[in-house]
Amino acid sequence: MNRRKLMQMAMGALPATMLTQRHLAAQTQADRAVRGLSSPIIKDVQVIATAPAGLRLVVVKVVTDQDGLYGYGCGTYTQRADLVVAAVERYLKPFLIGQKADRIDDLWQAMYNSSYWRNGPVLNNGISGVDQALWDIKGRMAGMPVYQLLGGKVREAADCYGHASGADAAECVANAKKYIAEGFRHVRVQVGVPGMAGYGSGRGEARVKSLHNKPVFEPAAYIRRALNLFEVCRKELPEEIELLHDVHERITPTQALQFSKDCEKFRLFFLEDPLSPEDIAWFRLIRQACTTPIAMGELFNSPHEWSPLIAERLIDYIRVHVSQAGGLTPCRKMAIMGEHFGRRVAHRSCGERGAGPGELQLWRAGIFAVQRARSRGIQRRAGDQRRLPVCNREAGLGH
Amino acid sequence: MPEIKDGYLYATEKPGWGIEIDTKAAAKYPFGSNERGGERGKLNGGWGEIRKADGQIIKQ
Repeated sequence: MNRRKLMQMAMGALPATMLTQRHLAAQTQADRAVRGLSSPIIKDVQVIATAPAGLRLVVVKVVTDQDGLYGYGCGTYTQRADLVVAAVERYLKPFLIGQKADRIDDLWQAMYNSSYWRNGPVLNNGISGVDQALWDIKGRMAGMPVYQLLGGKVREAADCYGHASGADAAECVANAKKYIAEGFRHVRVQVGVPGMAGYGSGRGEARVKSLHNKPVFEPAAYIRRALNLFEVCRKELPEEIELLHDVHERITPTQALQFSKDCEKFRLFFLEDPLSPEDIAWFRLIRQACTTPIAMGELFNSPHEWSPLIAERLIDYIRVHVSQAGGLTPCRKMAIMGEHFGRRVAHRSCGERGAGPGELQLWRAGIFAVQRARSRGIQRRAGDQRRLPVCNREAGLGH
Repeated sequence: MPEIKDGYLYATEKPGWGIEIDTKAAAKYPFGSNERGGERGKLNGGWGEIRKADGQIIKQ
């Protein structure tokens, strides 16, 4: 006689009333624990498209059949914002109406597969808007912040950097000192190159000679300027201050290799996006050549891009834009993967300007900051360059 | 807004993301209404272009 049959016999032998009472008590307890809520059903999906600080934000609102239960998610892709609106309204909304809002992972998989061709930035942002709204709904149902649903806090707060830029090294250092005075331990330093369109800093009045009238940039001049900036920063700033820098692609793979080696002596916290996504195979050479910590991921949309870099331990910080990756659901899995391979997470802010506390949050807290930036961006002044970033020193969720 | 104090960002303790959106305020700023002019305006919010001195486009 197997165990199941034995159990059935034993159950059958119990007085019926006793069993019923026990069941009733358990059911009552369970109802109390979930506040009597059954699975909320998605009733409507709305898109809020707004550009309060000149930055095009897309927020998705998922409304359920339960009174007052809804959630917000971020689907911001500023450069193709109109298309995200269409992706949500014309493709995801008809599919989502009538679905159970509490089956987040299942809905994510269904949305992800529903276009057949996947991992594109427009569709990922649409999915992200819905996905994050579903996490918001679950948090509201539970009466908990999202980070609690992910396992709870693993640190008290998330360390952030200030983005300190300047037309020259002196101005950048002066701005870095302001952040340090505010209590920041990390600054991302960017310096302009006279006459050129550098990233994250001013360019000055005159422009360098060129055969066209578009913004102009020459990698070699930028590299010389950046190395000089690091030297000045190491002289002028307290030694315990962590320096970050964003290359933002722009240079050739061999230049990136040499630059990463030359940065080694300045002990950067991380060097960000030294390569374009098309050139990620070169990370193997950078890794072998020097110990400069590498961050990468702003332009990533696909697990085919980040998974090999994490699994081969070719980067130190995975730095995707949460909505570009498809929302909290894939980023949660990415962070867990990072933890297994000893890689760390330093998500990017959704807004390049103004959105401020964009994201980071995520890992200490759940993703909430992303939307926060989006929605509250309305109240933020443009040009506030504080970014959240930083990093989990220990990888994984909650970092 | 999330609180940043001494360079540390603190998480919300409110349910979900802890946010609400003022849709009336959001409606005051449709796409393109509040953007700086120039290239981005012409590109409907898109990323502009940067070229090397000889005219070659670079990824950026």
